[in-house]
Amino acid sequence: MSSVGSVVRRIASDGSTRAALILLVFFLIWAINARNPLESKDITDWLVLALPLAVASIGVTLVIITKQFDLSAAGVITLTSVMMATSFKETNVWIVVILVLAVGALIGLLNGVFVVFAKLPAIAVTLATLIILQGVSLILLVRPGGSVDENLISFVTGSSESSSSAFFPRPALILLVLVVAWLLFKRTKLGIYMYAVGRDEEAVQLSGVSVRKVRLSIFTIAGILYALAGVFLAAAIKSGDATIGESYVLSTFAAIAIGGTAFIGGSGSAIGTIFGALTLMVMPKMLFVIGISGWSARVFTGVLIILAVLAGAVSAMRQGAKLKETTGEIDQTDADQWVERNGH
Amino acid sequence: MGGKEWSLVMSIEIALFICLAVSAITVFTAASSEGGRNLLRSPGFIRPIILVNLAIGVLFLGRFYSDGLPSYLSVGTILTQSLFVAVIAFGQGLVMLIGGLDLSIPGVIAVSATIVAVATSVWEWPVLMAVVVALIASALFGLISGFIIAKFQIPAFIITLAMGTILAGISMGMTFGRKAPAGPDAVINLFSGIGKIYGIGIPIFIFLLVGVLGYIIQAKSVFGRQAYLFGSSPGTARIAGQPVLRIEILVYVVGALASGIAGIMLLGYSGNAQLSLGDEWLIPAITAVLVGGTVIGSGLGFWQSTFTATVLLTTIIVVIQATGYPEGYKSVLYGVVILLALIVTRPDRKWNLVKSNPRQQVLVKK
Repeated sequence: MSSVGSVVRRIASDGSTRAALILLVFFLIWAINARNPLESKDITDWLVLALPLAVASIGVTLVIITKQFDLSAAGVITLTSVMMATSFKETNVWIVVILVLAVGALIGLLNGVFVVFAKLPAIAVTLATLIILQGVSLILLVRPGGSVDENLISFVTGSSESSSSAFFPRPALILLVLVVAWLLFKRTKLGIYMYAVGRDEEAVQLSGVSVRKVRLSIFTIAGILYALAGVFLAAAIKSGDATIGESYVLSTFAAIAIGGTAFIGGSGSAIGTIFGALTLMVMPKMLFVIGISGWSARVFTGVLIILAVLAGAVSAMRQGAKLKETTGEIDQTDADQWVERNGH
Repeated sequence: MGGKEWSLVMSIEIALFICLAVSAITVFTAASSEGGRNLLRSPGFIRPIILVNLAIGVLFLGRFYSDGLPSYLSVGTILTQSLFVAVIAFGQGLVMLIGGLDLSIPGVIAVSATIVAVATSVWEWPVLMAVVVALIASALFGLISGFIIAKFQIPAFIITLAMGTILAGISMGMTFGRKAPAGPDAVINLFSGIGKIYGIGIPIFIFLLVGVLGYIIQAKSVFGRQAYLFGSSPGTARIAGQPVLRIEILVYVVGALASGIAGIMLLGYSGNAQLSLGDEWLIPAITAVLVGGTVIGSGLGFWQSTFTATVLLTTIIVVIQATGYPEGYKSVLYGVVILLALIVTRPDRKWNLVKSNPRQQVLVKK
C-alpha cells in the first residue's frame, strides 16, 4: 500500500481533516485575492464573528453525538445575547455572565427532560423551545439596541490590549482553550458514555450506565455552551438584537456538516466543528474577493452544506459497510496486536 | 349604519351557536349507539369536532378584547388565512408522518411566487404557463431534496434547511435586486379575497376544496396509504414489497408541490413576491400538524384533524392581533401550543419516571 494513497484515504475518511483542508483553501483564496494585504485586525474581526458560532455548534455537536437533535441553540443565543445587552445593568458583568450561563443550563435541562423522560421527539421539542425563546427575546427587546459592558467586550475581542494581542488574537486563544477542554472532556467518563450512547444505546444501558443521565447531562452542557455563545455574540456586536439568532438555526448545522460530523450519532468532533464554523465565516469574505456576492453567495452556501452533509453520509456508510464485511478480521488483528504488546 | 353592523354581529353569533349545537347533537346522537360510540373513540372523528368548537370558543373569548369579535369579517379573515396554513400543513403533515421535517417551505414559496410574478410581469408569459412552470420547478426542488434524504438517509431538516437557503438565493437572483415584482391580476383576484361568490370570498371555497382533496389524497389514495405504511414502519413497507425509496421521495415532491401552490396563493394574497412571503407561515403549519395529532415518524395522523387545527390556529392569531399584544407573545404562544400538543398526543401516555429493568426492556424489544 503506497503511503500517499493511505494518506489521501485517511484525509477523505476523516471529517476534521477534510474540514481543515476546506478551511485552508478558503482562507488562502481570501488572503491571496484580498485587495489589501490582510492585517491582524481582519483576522481578529473574522475570529470574533466565528467564535459564537463555533461555541454554539460545539454544543449541538455534543447532542448529535448522542443521537439526538437540538434546534434550540439559536433561541438560547438570541435570549442570552439580548439579556447581556439589556438586563441587570447595575450588577457586575461577570455575575451576569454566570447568571446567563445558568439560564442556558436550565433551558438545556428542560429540553432534556422533555426528550428523555416524556420521550417526545427532540426535533419538535427543541423547535418549540426555539420559538418560545425567540418570542421572549422579542418581548425583552422590541427594537435592536442596548449596550454591552466594555470589560466583557475587551475580554472577548482583546481590543483594549496593545501590540501583544496582534500576534495572537484573543478569540483564537479562547478557541484554543475550547479545543483543550474538548480533548479533556472526550476522555472523561461522560465523554466516553456520550459516544457510546450514540453508537449503541442498549449496550450502554445493559452495562449499567443510565442512558437518560448521559443524555440529560449532554443537553444541559449544550445549553450552557449556547448561553456562552450568546455572551460572545453580545460582545462581538456590542448590542442586542432579538432577530440576530435566526441565522444560527442554519449555520450551526452547516458548521457541523462542514466539520465532518455525520448526523447518525456516535461520531463527531468539536475540533471539526470549530473548523466548520471558521470556514462558514470566512466564506462570505472569500466569495466577496473573488467577485461572488448577494444571491449567488447564498446559493453557494446552501450547495456547500449539502455537499458536506453528503460527503459525511457517504463516508459513514462506507465505513459501516467495511466494518460489517471485515468485523472478523478486525477482531483478529486487534487480538494479534494485544498478544504482541503483552508478550503472550 | 351602526344598527346594521349590530345586526351582523348578532347573526354571526347565532351562526356560531348553531355550529356548537350541531356538533353537540352529533356527539350525543353518536353516543347513543354502539357503532357511534366506536366512532367517537376514533381520533379522526372526534378531534376535528373538538378543534372546531375550540376555535369558536376562542373567537367568543376575543370579545373581551375587541367589541368587533366575532364578526363575519373576522370569520372571513380566519378562513382565508386558514387556506394558506392548510395547504402548507398538508405537505408538511405528510413529511412529518414519515419522520421528516420540511424547513425549505419558505424557500419554495418564495421561488414559486417569484417565478409567477417575474414570468408574467417581466417576461410577459400567460398566467397559466407561469403557474405550471412554477409548480414544475417546486416539484423538481422537492425531488432533489427527497432524493438526497431518502437515498443517503440524511435527516430531512438539514437538507431542507440548506435547500431553503439555495431557493431564497435563487429568488433573490430572479428579481435582479429590484423591488418585489407584482403578481398577475388573475391570481390576486382569486386569493386576496377581493373576488367573491354570493358575497363569500373565493379563498373560503378553495379552503373547503383543499379540505376535501387533502382527505382524498392522504386517506384514500394509494400514495396516501403507502405514506402511512412507510411512516409507521419503513421496514414493514420494504418487506411488503413497497417501493420505499420512491414513496419517500414522492412525499417530499408532494410536500414541495403543496408549498409551491401556497406560494402562488400567497402571491395573490399579498400582491407581490417578497422574499419573506413564506416566513410567517412555516411555524403555524408545523403547529397545525402537531395540534392535529400527527406524531412525527409514526404514521399516526389524520388530515381532517390537521385541517381543522389550521382554523383553530388562525383564530388564535386573529384574536391575539385584536388584543394588541406585541409580536413576541405570538411566538411564545406557538411554542407553548406545540409543547402542549406533543404532550397530549404522544402515543406512549406515561412519563417514564420509574426506572425499568434494562434487561427486560431489551427482551421485550426483541
